[in-house]
Amino acid sequence: MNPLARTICGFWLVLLGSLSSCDHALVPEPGEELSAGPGTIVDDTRDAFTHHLPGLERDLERSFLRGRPLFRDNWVTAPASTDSRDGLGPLFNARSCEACHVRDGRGRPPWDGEPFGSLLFRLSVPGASADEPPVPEPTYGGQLQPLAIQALDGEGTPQVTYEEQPGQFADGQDFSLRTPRYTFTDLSHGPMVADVQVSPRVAPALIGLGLLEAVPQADIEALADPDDSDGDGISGRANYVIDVTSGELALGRFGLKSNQPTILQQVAGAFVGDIGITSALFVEESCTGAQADCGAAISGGDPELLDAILADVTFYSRALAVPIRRNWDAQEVLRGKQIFRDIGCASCHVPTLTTGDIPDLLGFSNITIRPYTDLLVHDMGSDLADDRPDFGADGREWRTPPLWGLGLIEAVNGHLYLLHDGRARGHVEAIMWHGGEAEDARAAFASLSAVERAELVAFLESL
Amino acid sequence: MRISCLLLASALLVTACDDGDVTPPDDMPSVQPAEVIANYADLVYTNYQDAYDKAVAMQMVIDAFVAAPTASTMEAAKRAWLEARIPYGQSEVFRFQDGPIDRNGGPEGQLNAWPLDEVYIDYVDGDPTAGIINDPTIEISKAMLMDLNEGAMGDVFGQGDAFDAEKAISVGYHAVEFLLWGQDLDNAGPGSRPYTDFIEGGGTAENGERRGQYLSIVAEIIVDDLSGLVDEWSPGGAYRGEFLAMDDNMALTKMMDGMGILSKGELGAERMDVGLETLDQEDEHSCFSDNTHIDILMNATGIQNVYLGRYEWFDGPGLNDLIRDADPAMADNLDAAFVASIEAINAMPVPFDQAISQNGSPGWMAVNAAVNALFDQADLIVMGGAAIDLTVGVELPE
Repeated sequence: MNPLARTICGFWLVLLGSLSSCDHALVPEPGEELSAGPGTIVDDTRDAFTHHLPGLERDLERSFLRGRPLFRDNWVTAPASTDSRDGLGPLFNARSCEACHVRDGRGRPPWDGEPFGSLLFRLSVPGASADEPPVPEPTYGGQLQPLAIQALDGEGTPQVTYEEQPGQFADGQDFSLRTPRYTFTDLSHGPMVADVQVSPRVAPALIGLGLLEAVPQADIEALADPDDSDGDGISGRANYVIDVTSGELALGRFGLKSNQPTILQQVAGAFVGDIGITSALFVEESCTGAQADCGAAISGGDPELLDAILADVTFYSRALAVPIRRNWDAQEVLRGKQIFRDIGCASCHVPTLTTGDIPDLLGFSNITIRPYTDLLVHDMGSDLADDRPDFGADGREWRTPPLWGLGLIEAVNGHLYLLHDGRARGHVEAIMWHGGEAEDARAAFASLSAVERAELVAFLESL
Repeated sequence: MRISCLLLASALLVTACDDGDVTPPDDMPSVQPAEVIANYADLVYTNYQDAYDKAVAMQMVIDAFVAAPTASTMEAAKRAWLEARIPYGQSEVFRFQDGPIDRNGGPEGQLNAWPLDEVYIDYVDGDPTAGIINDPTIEISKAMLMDLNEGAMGDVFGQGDAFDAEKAISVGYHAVEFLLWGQDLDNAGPGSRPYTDFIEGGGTAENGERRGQYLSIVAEIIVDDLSGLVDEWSPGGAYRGEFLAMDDNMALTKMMDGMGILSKGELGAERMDVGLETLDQEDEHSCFSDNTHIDILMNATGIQNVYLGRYEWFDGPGLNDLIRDADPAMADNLDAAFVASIEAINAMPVPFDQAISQNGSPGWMAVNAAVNALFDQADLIVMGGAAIDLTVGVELPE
């Protein structure tokens, strides 16, 4: 570059610098677009959730790519020639993991006339203490399974209707929230008990799970404030649940109430509960004493799931990468991010965590991640309550869901039904359903101007 | 600067003249992308036409078997199925690119879904009254069987979230295979269903006539689906037009995505490595007939076909020519990788199911080597794509 060019260039740089400082422009934090640090991939299409962590060694890549078809393929009825793939049901919610976690993404309530797929119902009756699992409903067990192998009937058909409740923001703009009401018909073995507790749960997206599993327990416990000793109105409690491998209580991180301690147990739990595949962790089919035909059905093995398959599907679930953010440096998004902090969202949706050691994924050890969760359970108010305690999480508490990938759910799954049962039709409704510990944040959001609300939404869409 | 460039150019020109070299200079491509793309469309059409012809032949032989079930008509039907698998296996490289075979509403799940839900179709060992065939309340018709089928991959991804979990895999090549061979309960050989299963009151199974109807209709659905694929790719066909109108890079990327994803995610990982890991004899693609080694070889041959621009008797400009123009060393590496993976596949003991059943055995090691060869090949396909400025996928068997 000649001296004149250098001078002109320098002048412009100085001018640009002074302009931005006059403007009080917001600047992104270095690297904040990489939600999972080196575990971040670049894709904003419908495949955005389907990639593995970058740079896996061949052995791990092979495990991941074995895990994918095992996650995706249908399980078949026993006995079948494909002995390692049989044992479906006898009662089940889905024939494959993929059926609910489509493209490793998020489930939703059924559209009009559709059967229930990726929204299931946990069932229990009162009586469990905070260090015990919920007591299953005596006839139908711990979960309603609407489907069955050919020889049996499914347990029943769920139905949902919605009731609209209009409201207004402080600036007069209208919104509407819909409350779901569930009923169950065609129950195969008569009515459920009168005091049944029913908890609807939508299948969550699977990205970044291995990184969340690697956050040191002490770091999560440090975020807890069970008695709200700092007086900020936010309690945040750790849910300690039984690790079936050790039989001991362990910190829960996964499941919508932090009711699973490890990805291994989450995966094995879903195999037995959702697909009817027993494993080394859960050796019993979910048939109750009242369901003799279920108990008598042909088994696909003892247990049905090979340890090798459980290992591959678990690794697959651990190793899904997180997509890079879009528009993270746009002023609108940065202002939205500021509002997110200012009105208190970040108190529970904690922006950054740090992983500990991950022995088989050393490149992802001790890295900063931005999942926007504390993995704790919080009182979300009576409107969202399922009134079904799950270990230490009471009937009003739900886990803070990670928000990374939130802005790509629509691209991946073609919908934006949010919250535990998919009742919210988009970000604004999801925020407006927040209550309990999040009541102040919700009220603050409702008082924002339309522009500020749009900025906050733009931030969420950038995640 | 300008002068020195000119001098350099003249020097090069002189050198070329001195050598008497007759090859075109580096910047003169031997082939244009559009030629490779047009040749690919012809190749796909030729392959599907062959698959269709072989399926029609299979259907005729199956109908003859159903009309007069004997040991020899059954044997003929089995041979026709094995023949039909050869072109179909090579055509699987046309998947994974949002083409007619597996885009929304495509027939892949109806043609080749696996694993098969045997109990959903017919009796199995331990459950003599199972399946649609043994349930006289279900009408066996084309519409009914198509409706009862849930095509795993095709449907999950085709219909997205509207996946119907109430259905199971009940049609396609593997349903024909199951009905002709029966369950493979013999560790040493394939399934051995008796032809008398297709005779009403034949003494080996109930509902012989319904079983025959079921088999005929499944063969007919295969022919219908392949006919649709031939139409899409035929000269003047709808998808062919769409494909040829695409931007060159998009069309080339689709071709290479099919190669990369079949090589690594589908063939290497799903169809071979899962069996190696589970050590399950029947965790293999064609488990009833023990034809898996041919399935694997045909998939690998299909990948090489697209690279070379050829199919059996058909030949034209291929991706190899484009890549060689851009990066001869890369083309050498790719040429070698395709040869190596096919050699590794041919080195696997037959049948596949016995090869995979013992961890660390020579057969297991041979399959493991073939998996690694396919993974290496897929990584090179990605690099070969980069050499002609394409971003190629290898991971998503979808």
